[in-house]
Amino acid sequence: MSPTELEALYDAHADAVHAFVLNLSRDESDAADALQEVFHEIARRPAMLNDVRDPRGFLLRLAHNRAIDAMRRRDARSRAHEALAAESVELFAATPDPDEAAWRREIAAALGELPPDQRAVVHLKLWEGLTFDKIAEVLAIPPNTAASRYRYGLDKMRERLRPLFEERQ
Amino acid sequence: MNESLDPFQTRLNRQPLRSAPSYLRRRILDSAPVERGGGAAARPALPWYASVPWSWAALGMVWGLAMLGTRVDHWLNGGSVVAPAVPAEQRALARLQREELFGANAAEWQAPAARRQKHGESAPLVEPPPRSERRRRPGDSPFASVADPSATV
Repeated sequence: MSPTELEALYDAHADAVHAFVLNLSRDESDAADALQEVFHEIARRPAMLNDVRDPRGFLLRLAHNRAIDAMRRRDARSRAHEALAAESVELFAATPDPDEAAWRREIAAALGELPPDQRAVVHLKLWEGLTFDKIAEVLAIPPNTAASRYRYGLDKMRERLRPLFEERQ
Repeated sequence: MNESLDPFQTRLNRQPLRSAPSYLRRRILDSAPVERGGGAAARPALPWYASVPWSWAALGMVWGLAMLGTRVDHWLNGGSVVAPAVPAEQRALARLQREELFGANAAEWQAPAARRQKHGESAPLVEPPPRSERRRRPGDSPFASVADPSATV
């Protein structure tokens, strides 16, 4: 793979991969490491993409595996650090509107309270717009499992964000 | 599975995610193992059999060197290998041991007949004839009595 091809791939998918891994791991350094590992893996073995119809899905799958590995490593190191990171991670773009900024912080916090497997499905469904079949492929789980995880996760978020959501309606 | 989004999901979905930090782009792309200006980083891997002739050539070279060393050593030693001389006492001792060993073997071999005579046992009633005298006659079959019922009385 040439540098130009890798740059094009990076520019097309890096933001999505980074946001997914950041939401999953809730750790900036883990997200950066996973992003680097994914694109270096592709650079080392570009043939991996030869038969891939959906590069975004493939990259998200690689990133998911890297994020899970990083979370396991970190889990062994420190759980307190994870709890702190869950509160402080900046998942959404900055905005000058303070109300909107508060709303985004609350969404990020609500996502942080979900178990990682539900968080992954909610992220892929809401911010990647994937179908449950596609989510199942990315996460290597059955489609019904993806659907049920989404439902549970969304119910928790709805409950958590209901007052703020109704206020903003 | 109903995959349409309700107002709550749509509200969440509209929140833009943060981009990857810009410093990561340079760091990741600069350190990526890609082919740069004809470099070898991303060169396609050779098939497994590409290295086989070289492996055999190297093995043959090692074998040739070993053979050459053996020849040179043989030539330096005058073309023959001389066994070290064995002292006469050792040779006499070895001969004596050999004779004792074969003598003991011979005594052991004859022991059953000698034991029978010693304990008053008689020889077997029917001695089997020597193998050279065992001739096969026509109809001399262990199944003859089965094949010909008249043979049994």
